Amino acid sequence: MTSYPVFLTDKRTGEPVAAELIETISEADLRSVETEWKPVTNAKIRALMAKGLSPADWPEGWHWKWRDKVTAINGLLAFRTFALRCEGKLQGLMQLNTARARCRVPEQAGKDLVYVDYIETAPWNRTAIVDTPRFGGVGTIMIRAAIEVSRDHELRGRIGLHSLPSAEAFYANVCGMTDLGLDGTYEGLRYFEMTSVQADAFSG
Amino acid sequence: MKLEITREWFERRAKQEGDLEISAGRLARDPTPDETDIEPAVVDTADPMRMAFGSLVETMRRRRGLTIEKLAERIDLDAGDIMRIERDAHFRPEPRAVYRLAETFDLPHKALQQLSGNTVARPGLQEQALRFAARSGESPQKLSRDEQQALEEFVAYLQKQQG
Repeated sequence: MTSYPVFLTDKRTGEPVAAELIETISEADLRSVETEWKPVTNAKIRALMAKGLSPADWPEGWHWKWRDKVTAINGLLAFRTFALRCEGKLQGLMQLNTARARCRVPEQAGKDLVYVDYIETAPWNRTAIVDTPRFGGVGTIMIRAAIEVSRDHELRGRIGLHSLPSAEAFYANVCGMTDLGLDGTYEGLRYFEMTSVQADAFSG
Repeated sequence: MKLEITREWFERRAKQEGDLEISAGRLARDPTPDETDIEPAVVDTADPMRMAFGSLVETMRRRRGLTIEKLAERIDLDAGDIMRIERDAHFRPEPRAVYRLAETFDLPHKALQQLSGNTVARPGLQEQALRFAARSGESPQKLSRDEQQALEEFVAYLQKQQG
């Protein structure tokens, strides 16, 4: 198990606090999802149901099952997974596929990239679920880690992903990725790609 | 992997992230172990059969006098999953969830998988499904006599298909 010292923003103070990015999602992480994340998300869903809102109005990704995701890739070398922990609790998860996809941006079309299968932050960090988020910066750390995995594979920081609709602003404006539009082959989600130049700009 | 993050870099970047949502990945469902790298075999659309599947689950549940939460408990699914199965025709339930529903309601597995969109439907199923869906109401209480009859006819058809 490899772990890297990183930071998250404590939303109570606005200051960075020490966190830990751990390579490979563990059984303890999956249990954290089931026993700590799920009740928070379910409480929000119950509140929305009580207001008569349909699943279309529930927080995106509410039904993701990380245990299924991790089981599906068990033993496959192309995948790398990460868990972000802070103050003893799981704050974020990411799954990367190093062998799935090729670049679509014209200047690097056809070259290999690291495809981000999934990124998710803990429900208590999401304004879609709680009024006052606990930690910030999970996306920043995860995307930086994906870039470093890409560099590790000599892919010069090239990464690609399909953003959930509510997260498009983060990938377009904060990460500076190229927006290649809605992808009809992938549930109509918007596809974003980061070039090596954009990766350098983000991590610099 | 080399990952060296300075406090200064993080502060600068995290400030831009703010409270933005960051989720990436498939929206509709989770992959099953045998399809980690492929697109769904069946197009995930709100077709009439999928709507009939939702109506069937709802009417069967009501006939048994089960709340959404009770059914969820019984088949070890989230209540949210049951809600989406019944009301969101774009949601494609996992095969194992359909299997559990078939077991619980004593319905034929294969026909139910076809109706749910997980497998290709036999000829004739769509017509029967439409007929059933059209006769299903939205009353949250007891099934009407017509709903009861529609349900019985459709279940009899599904069982005949299985054989």
